Amino acid sequence: MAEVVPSAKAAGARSPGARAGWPEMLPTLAWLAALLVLPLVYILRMSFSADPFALTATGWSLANYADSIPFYWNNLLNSVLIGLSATILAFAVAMPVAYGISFYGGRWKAVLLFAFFAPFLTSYLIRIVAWQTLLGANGPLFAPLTQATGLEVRVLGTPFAVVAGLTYQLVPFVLLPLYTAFNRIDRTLCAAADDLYSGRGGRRGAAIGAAAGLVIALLLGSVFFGGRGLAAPGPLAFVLATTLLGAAVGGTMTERFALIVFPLSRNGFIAAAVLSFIPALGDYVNAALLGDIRTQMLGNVIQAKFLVELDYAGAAALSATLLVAAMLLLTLLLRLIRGTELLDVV
Amino acid sequence: MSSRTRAHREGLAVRVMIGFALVFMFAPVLTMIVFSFNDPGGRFNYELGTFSLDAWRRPFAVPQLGVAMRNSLIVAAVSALLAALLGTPVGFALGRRRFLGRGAVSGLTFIPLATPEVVLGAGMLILFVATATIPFLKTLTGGLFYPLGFASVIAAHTTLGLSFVIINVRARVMGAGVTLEQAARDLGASGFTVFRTIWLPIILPGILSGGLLTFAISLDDFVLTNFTAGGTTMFPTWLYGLMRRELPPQIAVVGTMIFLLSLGLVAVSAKLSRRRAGLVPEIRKS
Repeated sequence: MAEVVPSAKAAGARSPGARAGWPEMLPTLAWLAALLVLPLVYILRMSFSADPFALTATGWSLANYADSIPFYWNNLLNSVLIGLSATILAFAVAMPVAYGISFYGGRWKAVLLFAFFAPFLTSYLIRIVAWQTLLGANGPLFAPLTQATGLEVRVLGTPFAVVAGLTYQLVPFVLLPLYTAFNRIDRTLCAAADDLYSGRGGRRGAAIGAAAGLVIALLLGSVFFGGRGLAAPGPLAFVLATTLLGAAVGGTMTERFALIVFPLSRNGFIAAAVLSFIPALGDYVNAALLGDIRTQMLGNVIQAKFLVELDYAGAAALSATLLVAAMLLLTLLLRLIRGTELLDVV
Repeated sequence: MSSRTRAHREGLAVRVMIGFALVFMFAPVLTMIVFSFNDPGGRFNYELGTFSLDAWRRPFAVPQLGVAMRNSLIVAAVSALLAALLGTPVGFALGRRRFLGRGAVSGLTFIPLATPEVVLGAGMLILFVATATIPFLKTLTGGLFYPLGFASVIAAHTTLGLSFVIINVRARVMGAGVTLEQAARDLGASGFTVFRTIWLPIILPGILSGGLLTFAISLDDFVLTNFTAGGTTMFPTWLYGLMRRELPPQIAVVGTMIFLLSLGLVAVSAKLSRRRAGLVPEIRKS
């Protein structure tokens, strides 16, 4: 690699074939301008339209924002909190997997990695139907439980079910960038760390882990039980257990992971965060099929307004809000890495 | 404690976690497969009833299911083909050359991954509606995209798939084949010959996997289809409507079929790219 890259540059300077290739790219760029950039620009334009029920943008007004954002504030909050919870849980599932496959996968690496993507070869909607089945009160998980213990379980229709379904959909978006980043780490550094007696997190690791666990527990708790519902024995036990789990993970995590692998794969973490949180922010099918009226996200409102109520301007204002939120987040995260490097880890 | 024991323990811990994660990932798939052999006794296939092969014997007994599946497969195939054709030149240019505007083109590729799909779908919807109401756009598009139908869904799915073709082709090109190209040029090969004999074998697996990915994404996609299909019967949107009234076991059968078909496609593409890599070993090493 080190020898190829400079010669590639030199060849690029001399070789007659080294034009930019704009003529070949032109149809594609025109396509992307018309069907990718234009729709997003048109959403922004439509969000300032003066006539709420016109199908094309007319006039200028800020009323769409003023009317819709306060009214759908709870849905916006749901999008952010449920999306964030699912993203964090997807990291919790995918991070050890990516690390494990990359460092301990041996000759099973490709097979193991593929095993995590295989479930996504079905249909998005059928995966959600499968979650409906699994989490249903009379489904294969809870029906035997109810029969054995007499306990009535209600999971379907709660925020927990929405977060679970969404987490499931996000795992591959976290796994792939992390795995790619872990795979690029120079193994001799890890060997050096082992030679220098790198140990485990110990007390310091446990303290950091407990703090992280507490923050995550409060976020998840407020999503699952509602902000005010936290002050009850069950939810408090959940917060305590998650904090202790954080301390245990932090205390036993190897320094090799915490001090070498983690900092060296920062770009992978950022790419994974972008690729999982942004789809989570806009998702509405999980909330529609696994949740209830209180878990409806901004995407549900946008979908209903566009396809049922035909309130294009109001829906465009909400879409624009979502778009701007996603773009702000992206810019913020991209400031930390170079944009082109992000493509490398996708 | 020696570092070897520590590594051993860490290895054990991550293996256990991978095991739990695999259970999580495959629980819905297994549920789907099990419920394809289920006779629920009612209209909704959510509860285990008795074992039955009935749905497998007559998988398309549900009205419209066959049409929905056929339409979705057509859209997926056309979108994959279009995305492969349109994406290849850009992926090739991005991987091979540094040029003014490369960053902008790269950024354009990244937009679909960084935009909530519901926003992209909504934008396409109102744009397609505008092509019917704004005279200038109407003459430009000739009414192709409105009323919504095959053309609008294919346009949407191709746009989403383009990024994946570009990323895949770009990854194949980067750092490969330049010395071979120089050698060929020194021996008097024309630009076209160089492309056909050197670059094409290198990028073909990238085009293929990008195209297959587009096919899979198109078949999988709900959100863009929801916004751009209109009244056309597409599998995911048709199923979404059906689920309010009934959920026959045939849905699980079709889901299992899609799963097996996709597994087959992945196996074929893996085999093809291995054979290609074998043809040009010295290139893959760089």
